[in-house]
Amino acid sequence: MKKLVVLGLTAMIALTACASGEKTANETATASPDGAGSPKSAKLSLNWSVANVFLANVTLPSADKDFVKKAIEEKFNVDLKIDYMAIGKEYHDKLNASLAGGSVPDLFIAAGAESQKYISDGITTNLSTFFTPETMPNYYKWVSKEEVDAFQPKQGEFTRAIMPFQRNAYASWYIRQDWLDKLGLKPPANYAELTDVLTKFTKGDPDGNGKQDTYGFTAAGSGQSLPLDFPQWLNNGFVADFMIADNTFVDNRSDLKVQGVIDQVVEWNKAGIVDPDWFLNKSPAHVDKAAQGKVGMIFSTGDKTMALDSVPTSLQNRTKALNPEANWQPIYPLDQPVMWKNNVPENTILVSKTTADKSPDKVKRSLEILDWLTSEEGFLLTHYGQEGKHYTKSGNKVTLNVEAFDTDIAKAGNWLNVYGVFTPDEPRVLGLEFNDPRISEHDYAILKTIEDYPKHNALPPVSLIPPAGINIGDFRKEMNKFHIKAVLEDESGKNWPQYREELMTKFKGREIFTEYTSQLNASLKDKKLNDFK
Amino acid sequence: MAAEPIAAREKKSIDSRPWRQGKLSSVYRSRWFYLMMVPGLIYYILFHYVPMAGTLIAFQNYNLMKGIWGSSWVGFDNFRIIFDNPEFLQIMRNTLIISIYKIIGNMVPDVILALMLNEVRVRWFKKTVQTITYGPYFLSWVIVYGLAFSFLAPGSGLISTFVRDMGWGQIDLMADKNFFRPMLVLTEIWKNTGFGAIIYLAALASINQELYEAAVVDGAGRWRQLWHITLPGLRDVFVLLLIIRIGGILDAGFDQVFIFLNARVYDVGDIVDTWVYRYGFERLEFGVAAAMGVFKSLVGLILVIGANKLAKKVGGSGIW
Repeated sequence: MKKLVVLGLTAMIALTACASGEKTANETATASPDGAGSPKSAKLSLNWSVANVFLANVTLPSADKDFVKKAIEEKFNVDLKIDYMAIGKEYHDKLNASLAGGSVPDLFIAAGAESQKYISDGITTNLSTFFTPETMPNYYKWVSKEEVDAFQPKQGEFTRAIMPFQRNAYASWYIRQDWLDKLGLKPPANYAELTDVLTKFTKGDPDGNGKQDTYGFTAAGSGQSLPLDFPQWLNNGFVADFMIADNTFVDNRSDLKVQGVIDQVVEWNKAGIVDPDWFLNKSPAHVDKAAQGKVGMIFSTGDKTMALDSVPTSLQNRTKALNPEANWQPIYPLDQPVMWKNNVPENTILVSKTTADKSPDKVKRSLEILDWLTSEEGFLLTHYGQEGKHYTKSGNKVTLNVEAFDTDIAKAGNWLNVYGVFTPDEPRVLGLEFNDPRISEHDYAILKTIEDYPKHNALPPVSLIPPAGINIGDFRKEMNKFHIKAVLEDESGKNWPQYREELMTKFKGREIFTEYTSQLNASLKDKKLNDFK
Repeated sequence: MAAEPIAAREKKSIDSRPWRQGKLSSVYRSRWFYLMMVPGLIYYILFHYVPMAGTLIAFQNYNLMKGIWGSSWVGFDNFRIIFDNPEFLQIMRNTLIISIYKIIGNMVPDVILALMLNEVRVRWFKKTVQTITYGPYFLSWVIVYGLAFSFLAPGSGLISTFVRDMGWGQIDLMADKNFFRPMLVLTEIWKNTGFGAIIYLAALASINQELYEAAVVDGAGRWRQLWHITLPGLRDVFVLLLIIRIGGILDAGFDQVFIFLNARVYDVGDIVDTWVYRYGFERLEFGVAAAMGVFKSLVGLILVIGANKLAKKVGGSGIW
């Protein structure tokens, strides 16, 4: 009996070992490059890792329902494994963990700052031979060669491609219009009016439940930072994260005038009009609170669907589910000349050096797929679904078939977003006109309002890179720590000048931004910025 | 395991053959047991000993693409980076304090719960309590954080709301420097005590019942029995767990701290492992992260050996 048990155990282990060995052998066979013959002659397994802001609550359906995967695999004779996640720190941590484990995805997306480290560590390959306007004609409809060139960390080299990005910025604050109406208030148009309105949202029982359980404003600080959602930033003249003011480069969050921002945020906190959870809220917890009818105003940097009736998962519809009276409207509650910056390329498409060295065919095939995804055919499939079923097309006019789209895509985990990451939802770039029957006059008006908010070009198109050996992440971590310390512990901006000096010296802010200034000067040519102080 | 050397010793005294031969034949006789050990040994070699070669990167400027063989050697530079780092003293202090809090705060409740359960005579009640108390062990820290947040969030938390509604003011315990470490210990007690008690319950079950009978005959009450029989019976297991825990003193619980940490409590909550994570996974400086790992393991090894010696001196038994 004893012998039998032992033999059984040993046999099991041996079998397991064989089984995994066999699998590896198979994979190698499929993966091996086929130098000769047409590029599609051998089936290749590709491994991609993609991310953008629209992948937070997205799940891919089962393989039989995933018509995009099927189309790609049939068209390009590949086996495509695609990892996806909302872009942010967690995505990069996950990516780094798989890089550390030695498995670099064949093609992956990374944010601008992170890509610099991957490039300098030699994880990515030189793309100049692969990514030409001849080989990628469709991709270059979305971004220009000049933009791609200016985006390189080292001029003259081509190491990262721009992820096609939305040109229109859709940053906006949103306010509960029904609360304003109920309390008989005018939409605020400057900081004093805004403070007054939000105070009434907190104290005036706008939801009429007889309890003082609402707040004027909330945000998501993730336990780390003082987010740009707070209108105090803009009220003190800081537009988004960087800008050029008085011919000087300004890193908004570490500028001396942040003292004013801190003081005003503290005033709001003390007045009790900001949800006290704002600091610990992890995104999208602040949107959830807004949907629960607990908050009267929030901010979004790019989700244009917030106040739309036509999107089933919009903040508007989620709030309405609890309170049919709810009415979110975009608002620009300040009297500043510029509200936000025009979008600039932020995320990058990178290709693994290991893949490029070992099987260049995989790179070629990956980029063929990428180019197809950015073509009209790919764009339509990855944004609107299958022709005839989810949309109809006559000439350049595309009309959505709402019912089929909702059943197969929107309510099935909004999964088209995974494949749609490579192109923003801007059909006009391809000369298409999109007609969504769900979008009412009401929604068009909202989109128009948001599009028309005043924006500026923050910086010339150049990628800013900190001096060698300095990690901007360390600087930002300390900066955030000081913001929070000033707001929640000191409860005053009085110590900010001293904190700022520490950031500039001990944490090398001055070195970093002096370097940024000289990089900007190099690209500006005709004029020269003042020295960073 | 313990049977092997005794068998060998006995064999040696009665057998005139050379020692080596005797050993070999004893191995041969127990060959099936040795064969059964093989999978375990393979596991340890593959997953615990082979990766130790990776500590080489602690002495390298490690580059992912160049790998261990291609990266340049930098001697002790990575260790210098660690010890010169202004954060070093702070993270060591935090790690040690949190660890010691946890050792004390975790081992004692385990024993107490086990003792209490042991006194319960109603079987169904004992089983129910045991199941309820060890349930939380299977929750991940993310969920525990979610629970803690829904109780303690300054605006919407249950406890915070209660305190506010009672007119006792606004509390913000999750971002409070003074409360952060106690919160780690409390949540860990809540999560792990039920499971920790199982080991002591097993030890309690192995205490010879005749001892209790003899004590009762001698007129010992419940407390006397506890003091003279139960606690001494638990001593070996307690010391064993203590030694193991002391070896891991620089592991203050990465998952938990990483999830609970926020910018206001960095000063009291940033530990060695969160630092390693930042260096390794956020900055991709694996050499420095690995150097910290080597340092941690060395400290752990010294402490385990030290604690074992001390345990032997004081109580007569250690791990080896």
